Amino acid sequence: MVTKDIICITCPQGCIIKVSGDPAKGEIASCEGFKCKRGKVYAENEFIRPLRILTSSVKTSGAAVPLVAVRTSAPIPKEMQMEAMEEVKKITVSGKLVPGDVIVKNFMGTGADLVASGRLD
Amino acid sequence: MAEKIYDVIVVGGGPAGLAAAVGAKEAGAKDVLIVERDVSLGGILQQCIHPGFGLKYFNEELSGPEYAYRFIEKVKATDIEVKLDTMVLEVGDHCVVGINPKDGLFTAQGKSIVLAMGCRERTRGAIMTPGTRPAGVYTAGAAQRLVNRQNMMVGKKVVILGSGDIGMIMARRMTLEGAKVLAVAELMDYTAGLTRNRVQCLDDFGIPLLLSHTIVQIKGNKRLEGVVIAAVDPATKKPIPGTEELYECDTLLLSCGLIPENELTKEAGIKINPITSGPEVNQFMQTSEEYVFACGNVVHVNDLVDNVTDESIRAGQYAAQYAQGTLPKAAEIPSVTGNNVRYICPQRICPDAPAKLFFRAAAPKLGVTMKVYADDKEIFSKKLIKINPGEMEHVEVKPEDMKGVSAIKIEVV
Ligand SMILES: Cc1cc2nc3c(=O)[nH]c(=O)nc-3n(C[C@H](O)[C@H](O)[C@H](O)COP(=O)(O)OP(=O)(O)OC[C@H]3O[C@@H](n4cnc5c(N)ncnc54)[C@H](O)[C@@H]3O)c2cc1C
Ligand code: SF4
Repeated sequence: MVTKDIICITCPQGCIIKVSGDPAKGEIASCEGFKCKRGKVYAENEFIRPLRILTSSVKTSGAAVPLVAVRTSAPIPKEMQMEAMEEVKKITVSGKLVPGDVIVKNFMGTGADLVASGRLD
Repeated sequence: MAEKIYDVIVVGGGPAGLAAAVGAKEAGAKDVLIVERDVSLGGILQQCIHPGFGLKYFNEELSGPEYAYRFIEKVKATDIEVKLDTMVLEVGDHCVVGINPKDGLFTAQGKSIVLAMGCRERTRGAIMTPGTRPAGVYTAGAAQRLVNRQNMMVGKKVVILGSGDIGMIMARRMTLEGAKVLAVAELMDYTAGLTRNRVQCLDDFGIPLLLSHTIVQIKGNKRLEGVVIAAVDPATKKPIPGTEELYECDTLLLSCGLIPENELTKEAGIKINPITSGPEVNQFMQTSEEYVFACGNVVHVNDLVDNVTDESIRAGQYAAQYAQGTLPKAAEIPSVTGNNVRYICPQRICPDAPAKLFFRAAAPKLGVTMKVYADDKEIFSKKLIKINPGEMEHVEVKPEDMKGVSAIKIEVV
């Protein structure tokens, strides 16, 4: 049994959430100190497998601006961030984009899509 | 031909200006104009590509550009007039003087004016780091713009001075983009920015945070070659001799705080608060000049865009009411800072209407009680697990608690 104090990063309140259980088996015995449901979900994930939204930008071609902002549509495993950046760097986009437009479906098998987060005219 | 008179003119097209214009329109203002010096709307949000925006307002975690996009679409859906690439040079009596390539120098008349110019970064001149002035020294925000909008990587080995949010966010960005961030040095014995940014931007990547440390020397002639970091005495903030250590780096990012952008405000003779460096306002976001309103980072530096939006929609609504002659005018009472409160915004309160008071603590502390007094009478108290100057707090005061009162005081004990 392990107990961890996890600082919730979901909002600026920064609640300190106490989670105990067996992270290797993916078991949570207790979770206390969150002020909202988002915090509970965050802390439980953080205990078993930390997840983060990845944001970056990709190169454009034939556009007035050199870059357009992108993000993963949902959080991806934290330890994949650097590897994911390597993939992001290989991408070039063109044409019109608005926030939410999918650039890569099921990005690196994470289940999350890589989507535009800025706009390209 | 009689010159057009706008109901509301908004100076600045960042999240504050956009929300104020939308708020004014919703409150029935007829002609609304936004004047923005950049070629696009959205302000600082366009370069803040990280997530963390909109949790309160949209109940979703958005990036800066996504958040801006939603408001730009709202503005586009109305008949709000927008002048881009237009710099406001002066705020005069019920008018603004601006300049752009198309109209040249022009004056626009407005029944009310909303100031939403945001803030700018403290530069090295303002914080006086000794040493040479080589290339490779940037403010964190300038570097953010270069990396996130211009596709220009600013360096490979980086030291960051100051633990403001932009600095910590840039520590993560530079790491993700392949640079090595050697350290973040902070003069105070606590982080200046939000705890969540320390966790997800520094701790996640194992970037050392050196509290009670500062840069005592900058080395290099043409290009930066290194910085010398020393520990400081937490009480005096003076470097401790013998603790100096050289960090070889090609880039130094300064994240030493933001200052509201108030040249226009000062020139218009509007009263500025010495602590916030922004105009003093009442809960209607009305400045000392009754037809001039202000909102967003120009008033006080906000850590959350959601708060900016909320405050700015109200500023727009009240500006519209003022233009229509329906904003009540009443005697005001001051808000007063008590123990461990650095500032309160608004500084003035109209006791006949509810008021949302935002405030920041002077020093971080665990296990505190926040108390609100109407003169000597305690009207509200709340226990907080912790208080941190980097994280703004707020409290609402009702008109029934302010009847016949001469001041409202907040303290943290
Ligand atoms: C780097 C950084 C990271 C941040 N991260 C987060 C976060 O994760 N989550 C969050 O919720 N908030 C975050 N914030 C805070 C939030 O972005 C700001 O509080 C918000 O952008 C303030 O909006 P504003 O409209 O007051 O200012 P700005 O966005 O600065 O807009 C001001 C606008 O006014 C224009 N202007 C200025 N002077 C003139 C003039 N004379 N004439 C015409 N136009 C003029 C400027 O060009 C600009 O477009 C962050 C802020 C920064 C700087
Ligand atoms: S638990 Fe809820 S309130 Fe607390 S930090 Fe997390 S998201 Fe914010």
